[in-house]
Amino acid sequence: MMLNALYAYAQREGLLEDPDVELLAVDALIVVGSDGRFLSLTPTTDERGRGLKRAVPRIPKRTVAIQPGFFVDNARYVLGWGGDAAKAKKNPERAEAFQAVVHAVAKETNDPGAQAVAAFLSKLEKQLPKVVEQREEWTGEERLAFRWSGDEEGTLVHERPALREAWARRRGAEGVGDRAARRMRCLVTGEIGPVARLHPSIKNVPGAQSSGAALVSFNEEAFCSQGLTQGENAPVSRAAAEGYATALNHMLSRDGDRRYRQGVSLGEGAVVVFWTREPDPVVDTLLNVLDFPQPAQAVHFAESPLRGLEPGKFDATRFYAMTLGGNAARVVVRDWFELAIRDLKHNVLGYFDELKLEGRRERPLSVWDAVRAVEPPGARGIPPDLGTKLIGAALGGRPFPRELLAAALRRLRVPDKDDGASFLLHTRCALIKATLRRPPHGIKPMEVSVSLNPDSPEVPYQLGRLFAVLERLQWIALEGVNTSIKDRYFGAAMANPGVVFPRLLQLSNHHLAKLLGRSKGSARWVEKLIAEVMGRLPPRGWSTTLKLEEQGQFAIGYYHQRQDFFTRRDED
Amino acid sequence: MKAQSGRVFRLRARGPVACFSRPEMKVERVSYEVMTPSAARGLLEAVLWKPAIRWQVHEITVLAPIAWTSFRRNEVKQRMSEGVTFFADDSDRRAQRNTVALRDVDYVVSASFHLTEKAGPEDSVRKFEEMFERRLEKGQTFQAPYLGCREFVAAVEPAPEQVRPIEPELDRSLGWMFYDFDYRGEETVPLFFEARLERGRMKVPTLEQVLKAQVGAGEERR
Repeated sequence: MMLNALYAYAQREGLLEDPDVELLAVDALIVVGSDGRFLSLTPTTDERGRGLKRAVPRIPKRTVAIQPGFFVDNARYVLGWGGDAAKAKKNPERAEAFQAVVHAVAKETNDPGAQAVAAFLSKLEKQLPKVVEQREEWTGEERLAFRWSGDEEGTLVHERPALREAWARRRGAEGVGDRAARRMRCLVTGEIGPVARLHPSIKNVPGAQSSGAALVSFNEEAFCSQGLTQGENAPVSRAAAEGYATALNHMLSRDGDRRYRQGVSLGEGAVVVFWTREPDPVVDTLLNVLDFPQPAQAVHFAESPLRGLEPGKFDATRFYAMTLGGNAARVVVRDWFELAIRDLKHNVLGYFDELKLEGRRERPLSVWDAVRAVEPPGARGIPPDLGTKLIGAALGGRPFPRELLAAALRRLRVPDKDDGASFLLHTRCALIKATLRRPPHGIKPMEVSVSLNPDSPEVPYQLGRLFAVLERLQWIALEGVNTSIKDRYFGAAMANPGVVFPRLLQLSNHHLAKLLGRSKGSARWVEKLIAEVMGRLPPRGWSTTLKLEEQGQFAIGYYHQRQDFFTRRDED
Repeated sequence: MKAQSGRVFRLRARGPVACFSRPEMKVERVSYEVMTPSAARGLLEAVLWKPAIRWQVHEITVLAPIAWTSFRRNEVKQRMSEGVTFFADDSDRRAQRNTVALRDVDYVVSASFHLTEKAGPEDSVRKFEEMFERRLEKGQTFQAPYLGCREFVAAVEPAPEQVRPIEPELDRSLGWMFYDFDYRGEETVPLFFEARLERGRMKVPTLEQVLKAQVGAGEERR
């Protein structure tokens, strides 16, 4: 159903109006006169340095074989120019192959535009220096198209009706004449016809080769069955294969400031793309609340961050999401969702509800923020698995992964110097809270409140509170310190309270004595608070070690108590 | 002699993990949402298979909600065949592959069988009917029954009279699903059928129906 849904999306969005062309950036236009004279090389790049996107005849997928494009290709094919010594070795062959196509088409169609290009290529050797000097640098990757001076401004040679027909004819002949294309039932459309042997590549998937990787491929013998080779293992018609790939490439392409037009990055190794059967604004809302915050949307957030998740017109239609990662030459589907928009909204609101924690932020916690907050310092980012599971919790209403709890606790124990302490403390504790409330399979969920719950019967929670009180005491007694007990003991107290707390209480006696000399009121207040919290601990002494979930409760207790001090101070 | 069993047998199969790999996603595996007919046939054949009979699955009822899980494993990328010896932990012959599998599945498979041309004079429908029933009741199997991949073990038992299928939205399309391979020609042809989930049940067409649709749509046989 994945490929069906993608193919349907491409059709709905009009990405496939002409299956013979694809939308690609063209870097420069070569303008030629009717006699083949070189007139100019016009760069198309805008102020951002990006080339103009144009519908160009699909350029063949090539690895080492030489296969020219149709009137549009890179400089190595069009001019036989560019690339380092190793790459340039085959440039003459490439140019020859490209010229062969142009000459054949010029003869076949008698089109003046095609003939002009053919004439230009015939005397390429003489004109080449003039073309090359128009540009400072040539990498060989510049995509070039032709314009004939006889055409109206804006029309390119490959867009002339006669050439479009010629291209369609060529493509048609390829499909029929291809010895290898066996006729089978397409498992996307159900129609019987020639199957795509190799599927188009998907670009911009993190972790995959930068030149693109295939979603459907069979490159080892163990992946094939029953003597079938390549695409025959999963018969998909060429139209459907191009359709789903176009849809994915469209969603994964860059768009303005966005990293992905219709996807959210889940750390370094994965991306999730989503779409709906009918056009629905829910996709934009999700992009805005789950992705890296865009300045332009900040205003919108301030008003109502989750607007767009109220019941809407298309609640019964289906929503699709696909989490993709790369595995060298292959694109991996890490996760897949298909559900009614109604259920999606329910899940997403539930997700933000679990993450709700008293604190400084009104904006919902995006997946992007969450992933960033638990990233180990200096390392190469979090494993893609964590982001994948987090998006599963958001979109699919699934449990929060235990890895998240572990990662958040680890980061609390070793905070970074330049962490922006309170901001990340909030994020990390919110994630801990969510994992405790909605734990993975087989672990008992815990009740965790949004703000301080002084009557909680949970010992680790009360220990966390106690730690916050002791930290506070130290702060007011010594009137600010360079290295607080939090910096020194937080991690140890969380893991082994039995070892650390006796020492901390001893220290606190000194702090109390000091404070007593200065402000009796404050000292008495802290003393009372310590007694209150201690009163909720079991009389039989300290627990020696805390498990992961208990450490989570400790962190929440600490956070709540600390937050309570802030709110109190604001009220006073 | 009767060649077709008039009885419909119902087998229940459960397991913690299942992966009925979609052909397009069989390298980095992604499962179908519902058990495929060929996987169901495998379960039946684990209990009773003889050259004299051929199983026909009629219906697959889904009892547990469709839930997913995913993991990565090191798998071999080369086929073991005659004259080839290698160690599974040889890093040159392994590839790390992802699996998106189903979790906690529970199905009831309804099926019947018919005798094939391999049936001898001593074979009768009745004989196999009773054998199957006896074997299923006792939990006897020729091989460990599995859910899509050999490593995902299935617990197999007779289905109770009353079952309660899941109720997704009524009438949901599952797309073109793998049916089985057609081995009769020179080349193996994979067969597909249009699968639908209706009130938690997936109806399975007969092989004849699938082949007819195939010929009707004009597939060339080689």
